[in-house]
Amino acid sequence: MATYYVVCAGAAATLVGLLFVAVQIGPPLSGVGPVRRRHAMARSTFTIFAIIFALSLYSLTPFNNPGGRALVALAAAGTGTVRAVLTWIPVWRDKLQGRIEFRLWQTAWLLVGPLLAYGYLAFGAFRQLGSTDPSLLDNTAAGVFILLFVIGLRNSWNLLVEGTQETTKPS
Amino acid sequence: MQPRSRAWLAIPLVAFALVSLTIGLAAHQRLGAGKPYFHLFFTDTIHMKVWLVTAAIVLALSQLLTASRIYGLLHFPPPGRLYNIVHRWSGRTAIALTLPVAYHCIFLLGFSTYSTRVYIHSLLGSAIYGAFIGKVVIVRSSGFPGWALPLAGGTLFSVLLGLWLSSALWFLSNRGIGL
Repeated sequence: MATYYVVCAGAAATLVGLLFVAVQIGPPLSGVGPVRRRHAMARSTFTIFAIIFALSLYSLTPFNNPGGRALVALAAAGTGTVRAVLTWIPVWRDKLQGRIEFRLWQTAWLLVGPLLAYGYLAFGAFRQLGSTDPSLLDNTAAGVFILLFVIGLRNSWNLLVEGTQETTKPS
Repeated sequence: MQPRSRAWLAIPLVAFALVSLTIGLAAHQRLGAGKPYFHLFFTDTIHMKVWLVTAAIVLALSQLLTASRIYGLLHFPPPGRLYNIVHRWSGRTAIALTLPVAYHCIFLLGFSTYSTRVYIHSLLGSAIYGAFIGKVVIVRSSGFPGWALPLAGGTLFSVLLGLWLSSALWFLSNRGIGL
């Protein structure tokens, strides 16, 4: 698993760098309306890559043990969940008050997808806490990381495309 | 500020390539092989290098945090330009910490290919100051597109992380934690 975590940490670090590039293309990340949706997507994606990066790095450190890793994974899942909810609350408030328009399911997925992944990670961490088999959390983390990478890459791509469209719009 | 032509992006790229190639060639020559080297209060030079590069990666992680704050991906107090200053100085300190490590690697150990890990480490080691110079060129010049700086910063961070993973982490995992 060490190689897998090395690859995940490296990929997540690189993708965080590319996320900064994506948010630099297009309008700045502030204000209301669709830009706020874009801002929420960028922050949510940053959380995703940061969690993959931090968990991979922690799993690689020589001093960790399965119980400690399970607690760190639980903390990461909790942090990710709280940040995802806090990030998307303003966007949904604007939507429910009719201030912005967007496709409901598409935006709901941006919140639901990461929450599912964090939930599964927390489930794996709980199972690890009650077991002596050290590979339980590794197996869960492998699936969760792949899911989070898929969501993060899709979000990054959307940010890039939306940013490019915003900058090329005739004024 | 008038944006520069895309062709100007060749300058940091050429700087990156030239510096990386020069360091790679210098490392290949092993100009100072066999000479003694200081190790401060650490048990040996390798332990000193491991902890210096670990300190550099910790500072690089703080760079990631402050960059996220500057680019609006994270929000934490206080407002203002504090994080720009912290970002700049943590970057300078991180690079300064890598200098004694790099000197030992480049001039005393040299470019090696005897295992995949060492080969990757040698390649990344040759590239780090090229990436740094490329980033400095972009920071110190004006008119580059907005995405050039995060791209250069991200590259530098990834290279430093790769170096740490292929050296300090490997050493700490295989030899245990010690000073």
